[in-house]
Amino acid sequence: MNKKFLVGGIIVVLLGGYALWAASRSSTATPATTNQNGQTSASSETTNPNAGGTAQDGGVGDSSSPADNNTAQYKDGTYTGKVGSAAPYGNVQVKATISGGKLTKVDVLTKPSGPGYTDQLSAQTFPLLVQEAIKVQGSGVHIVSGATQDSEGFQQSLASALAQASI
Amino acid sequence: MKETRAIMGMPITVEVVDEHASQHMLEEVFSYFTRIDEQFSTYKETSEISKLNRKEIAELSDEMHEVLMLAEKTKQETKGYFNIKKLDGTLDPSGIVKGWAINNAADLLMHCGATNFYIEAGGDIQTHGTAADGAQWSVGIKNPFNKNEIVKVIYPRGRGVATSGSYERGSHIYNPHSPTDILSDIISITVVGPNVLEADRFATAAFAMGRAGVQFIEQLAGFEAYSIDKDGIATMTSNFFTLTV
Repeated sequence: MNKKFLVGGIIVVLLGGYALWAASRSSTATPATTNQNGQTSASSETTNPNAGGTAQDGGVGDSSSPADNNTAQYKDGTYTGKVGSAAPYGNVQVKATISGGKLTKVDVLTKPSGPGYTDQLSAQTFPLLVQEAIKVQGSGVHIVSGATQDSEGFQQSLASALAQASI
Repeated sequence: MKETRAIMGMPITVEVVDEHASQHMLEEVFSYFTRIDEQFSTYKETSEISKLNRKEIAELSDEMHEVLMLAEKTKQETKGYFNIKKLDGTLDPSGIVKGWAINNAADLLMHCGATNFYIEAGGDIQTHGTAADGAQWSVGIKNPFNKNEIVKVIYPRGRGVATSGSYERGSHIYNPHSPTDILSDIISITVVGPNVLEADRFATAAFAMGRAGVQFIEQLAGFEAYSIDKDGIATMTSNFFTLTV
C-alpha cells in the first residue's frame, strides 16, 4: 500500500486519528467529531473570506476513497477542522491550508496537552509527518532501543594502542 | 528467565517468561549468536567474511549467501542508501547481520517451545507474546542526548524494532552517495517493521538518508519511524502514534 494519503486521509490522520483511537478507547470522545462509524467528520469551514471556496465543496477531511487522490478537488483557502478528542491527552484541532488545489500546510490550533504528551505537536506539509519536541518519559519499560552499535573496533583499537604503550 | 551476554561486541539480552522457560533455551540462542559472530565478524581474521574479503574462498556458505542476497535486495529497495561495500571495496554486512541474526534466534526460541519472550541485541529488538504479567512488551526509545533516559514508549506487539544512529560510536554510517558528508542533522531513527530483520535493514538505510529517512519509511507499508534531530525535535510517521497505545 502506498502511504501517500489523500488530503482527506491526512486530515483524518491528524484529527481523526486521535478521535478514532479515542472513540475506540473512550466513550467520552467528542461527539461532534466522530460519527456512528467511528470515522471522523472533519467538515471544515472557510476562515479566509478571500478563499472563494466552501467547506462543503472542499471536502477537506472527507475520508473518501484513495482513488480520489489523483485529482485536485480542493478549493484554495484556509479551513479549520472541528475539535477532536485525543483522550486521554486532551483535544486536537487543526487548520488546513489549500493552495493550488493541494494541501500545503496544516497548523495545529489545539494540541493535546495532558500528561504523557509532548507539547510541540505540529505537522509538516508533505508528507504529513508529525513532529514533537522529545521529552523524557518514565523509565518503566521492559526493553530499550537505541543505537548501541558494537564497540569491538573501539576495543581492538584500544587494545592495540595499549599494546604499543606497554613496556 | 533473563540473561545478558556480550557477543558480537555488544550486549545481547534474552528473556523468556514462559513457565517452562529453561536455561537450554537461552544457551541455544547465545550459541547461535556466537556462531554467527565467528562467521560474520570483520574483526575476526578467521571469519568467513574476512576470508571472503581476502578472496580466500570461492564457495559461500548458505548463511553468507543469504545475507549477501538480503544486502543486495536492501540496496535496491533503498536507492543505494544501504550498501555493505565499504569505501575500500571490502564488504561489511554488519548493518544487516544483527537484525537477521535476532530474527533467526527468535525463530530458534519458538522452535524450542518459547512463546513469550524478547531478544535484544545492541538496541534492536524482537518481541513475541507478552511480558510476565501478561502486559504487552513495552519498548523505550533511548534519548540520544542522554543514554540513561527514554523519550518515547511504544508497544511493538510482535513487530521488530531497530534504532540506527550516530551517537554512540560517532558517525558509523555514511551516505554512500556522498561519503564525505557528516550525518549530523538526524541523530537517531527508530524503525518498527514486520520483524526485526526488516526494521534493521530499513533503519540503517533511513538513517543514511538524513531528514528524508522518515519520509522514506512513511512510503513503506507496514513500517513506522521516529527520528530525532540535533535540536531534540522528533519527526514521526503519520501512524506512529498507533504504536504508543
